[in-house]
Amino acid sequence: MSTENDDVPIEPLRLKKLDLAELTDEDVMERCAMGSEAAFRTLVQRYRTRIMNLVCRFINDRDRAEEISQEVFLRVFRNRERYRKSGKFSTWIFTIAVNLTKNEIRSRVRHRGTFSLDAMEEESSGQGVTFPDAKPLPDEDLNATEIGEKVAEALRKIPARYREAVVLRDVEGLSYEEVGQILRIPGGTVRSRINRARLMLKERLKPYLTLEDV
Amino acid sequence: MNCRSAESLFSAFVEDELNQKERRFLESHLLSCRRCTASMRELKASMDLCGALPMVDTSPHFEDDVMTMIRSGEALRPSLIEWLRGLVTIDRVRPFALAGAGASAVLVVSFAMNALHIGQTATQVAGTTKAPATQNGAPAEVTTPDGSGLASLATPEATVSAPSPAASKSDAGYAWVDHNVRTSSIPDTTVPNPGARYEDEYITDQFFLERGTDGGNNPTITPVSSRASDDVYITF
Repeated sequence: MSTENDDVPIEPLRLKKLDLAELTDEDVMERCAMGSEAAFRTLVQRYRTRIMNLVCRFINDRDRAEEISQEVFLRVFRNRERYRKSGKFSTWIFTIAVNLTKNEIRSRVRHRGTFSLDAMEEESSGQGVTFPDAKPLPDEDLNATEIGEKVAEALRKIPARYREAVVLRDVEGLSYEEVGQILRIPGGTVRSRINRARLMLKERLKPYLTLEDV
Repeated sequence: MNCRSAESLFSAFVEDELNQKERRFLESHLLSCRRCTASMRELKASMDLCGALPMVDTSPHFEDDVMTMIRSGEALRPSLIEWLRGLVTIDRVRPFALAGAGASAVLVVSFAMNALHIGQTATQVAGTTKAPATQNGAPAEVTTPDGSGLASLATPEATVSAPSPAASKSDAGYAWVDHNVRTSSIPDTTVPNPGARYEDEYITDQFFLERGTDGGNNPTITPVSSRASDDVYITF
């Protein structure tokens, strides 16, 4: 005995395709931990520029910065099962990036062995020798790219402990709390280092600050 | 507020993180200090420059490179630190930790029982051993073998309360009757009663001092091995 309902084709249960773009980093990482390659790709797409930018601000070597950035993502993949959703993914990945960058700087200092201004600069951490910049001519007209280069140069020349704090805060836009977690320093120290770094940058960038900027 | 303390608040001021009191102080300082006002504006401008830094992008094949390294398996080999961290997981460490804790507990209990046994032995020995007395009847003093101090033997309790390192040998039953314990109460000039028995004075484990019969004026050192038996006492 057939009923009217028998004639109605049964709609197969369709699972809505999960749109990873709508998920938070933490949710995407959770799927990555479960073995989703698409989730991992999503994370790479979301963070590759930020990680590359961060590493580049720390070491003045674009090729090496890219290698380190790749290593950051490989470590994320290798340790995907260790990630705990309770923590922010951005804090976790930036911590990996900062640690790898610090290792790179230490390695460079160790392997150079000979006198090197870059190594001294990186090694100094605030107590070392600093070299004053050559002042540009007052009427020097710099375009945006050149000013960007000057800012990047000024960033590289401040001691590492201040640089890492101010890059995470002002360049990457992380909160003070996140900066403290990544660098493993208390909130008061974070604020103090960032303020100090900004004052140093201000002194170095003073020649390039125009009335429009002020 | 001076310029130095004002400077320390610049960042917080720019980011609007000061409390009302700090803000009021800083604003009043800025009104009266042109240098700090200019410095504050420069700081704000340099912050804007940093924030406007162009992002350094990766190469176009960045993502593919990462995925290739993952697929090849080469990049999946953990670093030494990661490998060690993987070894030291809670699940793996737990049995060893439990075993270690058990072994420690056994050691502590056996040590405590040992110490208790020492105490009991010492009490028994002190209760049965008479403290050597000096000629005038005063209680003798015992010098610990390592010279670390003197323990009065006036009462058995005093003996128990001042254990020496030799006491650690008490398992063999000679905790407080050690040959290394020497008396210092033998008179130098008084001739003792003939036939009286006295402890000899040991110099080392191999030799002991014989006072002789002339009141100790011509002492001789005799090897321990030359004694007939442990019961032989030298008569002065």
